[in-house]
Amino acid sequence: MDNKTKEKTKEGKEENKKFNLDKFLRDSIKAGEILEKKEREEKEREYAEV
Amino acid sequence: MPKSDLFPRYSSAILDANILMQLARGKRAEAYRPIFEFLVKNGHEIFLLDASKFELVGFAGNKTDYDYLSNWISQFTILSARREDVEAAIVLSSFYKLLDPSLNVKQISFCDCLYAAQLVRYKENIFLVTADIHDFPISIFDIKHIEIIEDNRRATIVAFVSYNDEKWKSAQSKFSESARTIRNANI
Repeated sequence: MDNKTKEKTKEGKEENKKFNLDKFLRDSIKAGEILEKKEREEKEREYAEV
Repeated sequence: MPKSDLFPRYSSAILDANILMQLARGKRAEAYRPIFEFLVKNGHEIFLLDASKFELVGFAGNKTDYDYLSNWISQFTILSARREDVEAAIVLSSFYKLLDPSLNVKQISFCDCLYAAQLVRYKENIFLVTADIHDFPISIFDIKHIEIIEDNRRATIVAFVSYNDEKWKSAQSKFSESARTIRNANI
């Protein structure tokens, strides 16, 4: 890794210690709803084109 | 879960976007908790490729959804693909096609080749966590560990993929050989 990435990695390791897994997993529920909505809209658009 | 010494301590992990999509859409995010706990516990910094951010956040359609999804993945470090990675991704897709001529364009995504390019670039310093084992041929990469996640009565296979120098060199050699084969056939 170059210095810039190493620096970033070092910063990331520090951040990793603060990684809030509970929050991430909790927020995943609503993220899933948005992703599903995006997927649904895309499918509907595809069907409409056919 | 993998043993803690499966990868060098403090090596980095890159997440395939499909893991986050499966985790979120399956509404069983808790099932994936051990994977993240393994990464955090062993000091593996978790990266997301910028192209993955595009897959996850792109086409949000409105600012509220865009902000929510951006914030959701904001705890991961974003790794930007470079020009050399794009070149490597193009070469890798050609390797894949050489190794399996039946593959079509839709089966080899640019993003998957970009992940593979990160493995080639950072070698033992990075490994990939993916929910699609088939996107990374074992003729080039190693599947170091497989974890089965029960996700709404469906089994999701989560694979830990890493670089293998010997396999990579062999693939490069086969690729070079293919040029000679074609040249000889044209004489």
